[in-house]
Amino acid sequence: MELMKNVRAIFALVMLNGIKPVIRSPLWLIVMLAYPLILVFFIQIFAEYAVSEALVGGLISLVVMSGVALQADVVWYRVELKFQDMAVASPISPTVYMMGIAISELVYSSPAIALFLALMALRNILKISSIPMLAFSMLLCWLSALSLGFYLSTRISDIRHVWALEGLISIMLSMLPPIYYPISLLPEWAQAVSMLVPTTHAALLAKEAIGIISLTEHQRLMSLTILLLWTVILLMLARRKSVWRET
Amino acid sequence: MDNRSAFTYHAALEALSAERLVKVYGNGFCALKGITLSVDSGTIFSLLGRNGAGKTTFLRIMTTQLLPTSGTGRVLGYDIVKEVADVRKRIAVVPQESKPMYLLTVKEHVKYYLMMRGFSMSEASERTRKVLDELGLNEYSDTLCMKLSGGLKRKVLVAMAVATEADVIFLDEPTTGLDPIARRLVWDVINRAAKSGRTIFLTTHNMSEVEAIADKFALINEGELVAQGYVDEVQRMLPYKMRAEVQVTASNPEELSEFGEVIMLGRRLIVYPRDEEESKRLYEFCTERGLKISFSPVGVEDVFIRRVFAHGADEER
Repeated sequence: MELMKNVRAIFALVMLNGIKPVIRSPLWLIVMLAYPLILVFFIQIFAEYAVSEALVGGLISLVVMSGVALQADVVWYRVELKFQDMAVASPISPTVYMMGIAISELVYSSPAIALFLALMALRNILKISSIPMLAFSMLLCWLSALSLGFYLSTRISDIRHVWALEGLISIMLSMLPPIYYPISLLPEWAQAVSMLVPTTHAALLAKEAIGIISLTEHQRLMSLTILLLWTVILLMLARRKSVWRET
Repeated sequence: MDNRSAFTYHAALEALSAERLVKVYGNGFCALKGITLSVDSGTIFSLLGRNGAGKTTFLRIMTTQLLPTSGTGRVLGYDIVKEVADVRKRIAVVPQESKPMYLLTVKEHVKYYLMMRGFSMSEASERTRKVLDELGLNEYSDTLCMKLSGGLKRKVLVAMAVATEADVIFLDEPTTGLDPIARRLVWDVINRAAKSGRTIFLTTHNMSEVEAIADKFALINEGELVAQGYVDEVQRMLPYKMRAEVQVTASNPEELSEFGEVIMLGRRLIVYPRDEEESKRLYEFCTERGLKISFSPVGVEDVFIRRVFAHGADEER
């Protein structure tokens, strides 16, 4: 009974924050797609050999962007519309609220994700056998990004701060780390720094899954562990430190 | 009647109760200084006060959005700190300055909000149809909220709360910023909700709003309750029955003091004659000098003036 109520709540949030706004303002789909596609386009022109890596980078970017975009929506609902206050003073739990908003963000990025997967298939780098690891690394990446987004969103009191933070997080997680380009292009010290970033590991695992790089057993285990660790830490941070009922 | 059944019986009559509720924010600001009040089930109760008096803080605590520093609060007998889930099932709130989502229609707002609270799609659709019909929102059912006037937007938000099965509906300054016609639209919705047996708790700084729709009110000032009572018994709360508003001239505040208590309120001069004789003398005094004067029975505004404004002025003196 409780499960059904939670499913309905998530469905309602996906409709009101995802499907209905997208149908009425499809421009968002283009905005979501434009940034990673333009990067792939430039890489195609200047470094054709790295296009497969760039497609993985685009996929990770989309997943990160969908997590980070949650921040803006949550702050918008809390500060501007006061919709979150209505949610707090209702039977919905913060976890269900967060899941509903998080899944609704995927509505904006899923057409772009589908396009990137299609481009990968056209380049013959997407095989059935590569899908489980690709999906797993994307899932962890998404969970990390949205946990970070939710945690930050409950602590921001002005929507303008979100815009700045959103840009910064996107740069830190999906532009600077070696996700669009091979990690080997970085100097050694930069490679070491990039190993601290979860998206680097998501990219390594995804690139290996589609067969464009190979990792040793040790490297694979390390990437999996670091990515999992980041996901757990950020999920716990979001769950424990986010403010639902204010003190 | 044993203690437990006495408590249950009392709780059934009492929709809301607060006892010595205190809120001190992290920066040391004390927003509530021991508020004690109770609201009867099925009534419209208004918490009246100036901006920053503590109205929203009180409402946010009672609706489980904010934790109190000390004191206790109950909604339909459930503790607002220890029995949060039970409270949340039974309340709905329309926060101050809340707005509907621009890209949703009126119908979608109500329906998805109900589903978010756990209603099935068919029940949510049925309740939505019913509430839009009852509140006269049917013609806007498929209109995007971005195209509605300010009054209709507020009406949609109130409709969302009314459509739930909540026994207590909290409205934080539901008509602030609305023109008189839009305000009446919202009052109409509130009155309809109250007629269906709900308890309505609303905050406002608008005295005429209290007189127009509330059964009972409490006046809060700087975090303290300074008055509370039934709106139609407001005259019992004051030592005067009538008030007179007199045209201001340079000298008259002093001249008028012999006809009753005089309070200067910005550009308004209010005189409270002690009896009919004083009223008569005041009227003659003003008409002889060609000063405009109008009499009216005392109301909620006078409680506000005397307990908040005049009290502050006395302290300054």
